[in-house]
Amino acid sequence: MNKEILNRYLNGSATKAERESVLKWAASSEANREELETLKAQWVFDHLPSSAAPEGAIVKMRKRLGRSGSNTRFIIRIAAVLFIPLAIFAFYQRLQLNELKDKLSSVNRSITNQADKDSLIYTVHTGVKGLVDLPDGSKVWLNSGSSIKCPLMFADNQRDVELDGEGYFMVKGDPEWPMFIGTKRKITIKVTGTEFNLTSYANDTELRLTLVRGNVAILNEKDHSEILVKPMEEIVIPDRMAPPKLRQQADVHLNTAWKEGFLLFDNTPMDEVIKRMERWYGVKFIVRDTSILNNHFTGEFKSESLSQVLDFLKKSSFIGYKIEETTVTLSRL
Amino acid sequence: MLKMQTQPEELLVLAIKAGDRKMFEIFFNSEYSNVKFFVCHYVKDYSSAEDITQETFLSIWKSREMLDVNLNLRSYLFTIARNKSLNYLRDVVSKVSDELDKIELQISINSLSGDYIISRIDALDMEQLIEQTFSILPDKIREPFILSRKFGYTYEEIAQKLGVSVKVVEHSISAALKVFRKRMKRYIE
Repeated sequence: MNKEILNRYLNGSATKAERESVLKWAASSEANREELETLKAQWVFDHLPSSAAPEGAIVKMRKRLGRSGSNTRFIIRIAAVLFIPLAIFAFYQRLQLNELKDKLSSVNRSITNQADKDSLIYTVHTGVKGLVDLPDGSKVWLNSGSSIKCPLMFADNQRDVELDGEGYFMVKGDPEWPMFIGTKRKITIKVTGTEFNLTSYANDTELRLTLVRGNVAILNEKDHSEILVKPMEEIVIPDRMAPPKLRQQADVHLNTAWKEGFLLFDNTPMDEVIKRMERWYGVKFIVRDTSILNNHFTGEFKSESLSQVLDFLKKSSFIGYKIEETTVTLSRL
Repeated sequence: MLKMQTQPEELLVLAIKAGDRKMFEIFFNSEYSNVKFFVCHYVKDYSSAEDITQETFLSIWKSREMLDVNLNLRSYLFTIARNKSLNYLRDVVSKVSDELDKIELQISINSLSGDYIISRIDALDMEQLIEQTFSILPDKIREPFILSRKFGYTYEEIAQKLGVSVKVVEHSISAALKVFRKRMKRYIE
């Protein structure tokens, strides 16, 4: 049988006469028929279009689903971040919704639906860091154990996002289109085009902002104050009623080194060292002897393992450690 | 750290099982055109093919609570589409009188019920896994791996092309193979 005619028959472009010749050929012997049967199956699987569903089909399916199931997101919380992005990646990639490719290696992206508004939540779990592209082209580096929420599309008048954790923001400049960064502590950061590091973990006791360039305003709902921060300034706003601390010559390197992969401590109080190491390495600490918390720690680590850092701590501060699975127990030597 | 073993396929099934419409829609959106294309190829009649495709997805949704987490959803989807198409064709073949139409329908029925199609449906899962595995490899590892396995370059040629040492190429390829071996475990064993 002529290959080209066979191919035309399979893709549906054969003429009436060609179709007849193919079918007669197939009917003439068992072997021919079997060959055509296999070719038919082979052809269809080799030509699957993998394109997005037409809008009409989706609407039709939605109608048929009725009100069954739930519109709220099924939240999958998982220790490792690697696999969810993959699942979502595989589907979104084919839908060509986004070039998530390289960025999703450590960022978990999920969709939520609140008050009829779709939002995206990007989550970076403990032990990893990730880069997120916001819908306006702004970029945010998320530190371990952080998440950022933003709408699928920003509103015309302002850009609203919510941060829990630590992020280094590179916001696309547009004075007419401010970005408001909400936190979990009734403090909102208003920016128009700038670069800064914002730390606001829900389990911390303060919010810390280090401005690298541009301008930001910190709007405090609690006392309705507005603080303007200048480049190279660092501000710390404690949760308890206390005045904010402003440092005019911020140690930008210390506060932003995490995004280059450095774990940096500079005379850092032990409780903060522990919190940062918990996020960095995805472990939990148990402190046997509370006097350990009075220690301060200085050190710079890049690719050191958890036990290497702890060894350093042992030598410099006489603090012993024991690692069991994902729990680290600290005690006085 | 048991959860670290969870595969994306399982998570998709879990979400749909839990009645997550958004996840189901994502699945629908990504597979609809493929199923429709497949059904159309056999069923020929466009509007019947569309109905069968919709019914296929709907039957997964309706029986979502019974879904087995270890199941490959894509293969399962095509199996349902195949069965529904077969039912349709068997019904039609009893009604046609034209000799050529009858031959053609019989060929379609045989093709759909043959072993070959089952092997292709089963392989859908594996094809997807291979694609995904490629996508998670870091660039540094993926490049030498593709040059070696897809284009058949020698390690020396790859080293030269990428401006790295042969040792680095060797290491990248063995790292890539490790990832593949781990993710394809269930097919290798």
